Amino acid sequence: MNCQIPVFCDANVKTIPISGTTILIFEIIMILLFIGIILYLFKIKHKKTLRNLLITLIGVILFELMIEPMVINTGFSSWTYYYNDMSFVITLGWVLIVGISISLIDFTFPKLSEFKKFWLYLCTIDAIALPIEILLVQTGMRFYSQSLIASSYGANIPFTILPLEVAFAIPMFFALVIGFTKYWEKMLNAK
Amino acid sequence: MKTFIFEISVILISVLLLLVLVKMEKKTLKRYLILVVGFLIFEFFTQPLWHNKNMSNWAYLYQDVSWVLTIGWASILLFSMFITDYYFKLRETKRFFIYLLIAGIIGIIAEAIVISLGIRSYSPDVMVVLSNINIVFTQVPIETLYYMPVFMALIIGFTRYFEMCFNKTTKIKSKKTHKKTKRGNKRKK
Repeated sequence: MNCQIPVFCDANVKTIPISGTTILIFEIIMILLFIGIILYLFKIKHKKTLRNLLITLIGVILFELMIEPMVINTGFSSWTYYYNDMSFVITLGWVLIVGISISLIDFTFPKLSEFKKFWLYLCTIDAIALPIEILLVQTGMRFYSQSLIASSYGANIPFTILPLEVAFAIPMFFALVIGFTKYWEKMLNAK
Repeated sequence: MKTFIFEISVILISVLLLLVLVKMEKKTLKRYLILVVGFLIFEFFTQPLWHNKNMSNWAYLYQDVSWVLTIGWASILLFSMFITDYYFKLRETKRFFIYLLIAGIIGIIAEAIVISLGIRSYSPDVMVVLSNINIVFTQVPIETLYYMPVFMALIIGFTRYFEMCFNKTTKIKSKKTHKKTKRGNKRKK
């Protein structure tokens, strides 16, 4: 343990499990939210946004396949798992986070260069995803593999059991996902 | 000794490849740097999944992340992208899958080499999910067949996106346009 500052290595922080009913409600809300968004986009005939959501979905699935042995998702209803421990509730959650972040930045800063927007996408994704990641890990619905814990620096995000690296890993991994998503968007737009 | 020869070979091949390709296409260096950044992100944050052992001390960047392997991977993808752009006059969407195919084939050969040299091994978390079936004539797990295109697809997307951000025109000259340019240059002379 390389931890020097107590707040970064609080061994007293424990996971607080949540009930099966709460998880079920969370799953249903996520599905309804996603169906609602898709239906709305169909209604307003926003085909490009629908297509972009599909590209993001592919990017997120690739990302989840890539990190699959490092992260274990537990506690979700069995019908939500589609490959090993990959749950579509988590996948749809990531898609929403990426979609919202990109739309928010594109809408707020339309004249900004693509390069600058990219960094803002990453900051927004981290700001939204990190608290959710903390919530999932602290409630025991998501935990990290022994190899990941062993290779981490040893310090945690204050008042949590999450390795500090997670705060950097989220935007870094999503740099690849956003790159993939925006590349396909641009390619299909140019067609 | 074997790993030392491997390290030197990777560095030399990468430098030679880069020198040749930069001469043919100036934007290559930029593409290569973006590829290195993409692979570094991938290798740095997925390092719990595998171990890179028995390499020289100078070949490591952080823990068991090796910069020699990073430039090796970047060179594989750079070469695959160049060959595809040069020989296949296709739409970018189709070329993307040819990038993946060529890089996947070379990548699996490279993976077989690093495993046989004792450099690459997998963490217990990965061993649990492996089916213990290897690709014929190699010690490479069969799961590599899907894992390699997965991360390479993300890195290609990342690289091309940044190229598009930095350049207004990103098309690399195909074989035909190379010939045309050469003829044009001769006429000018």
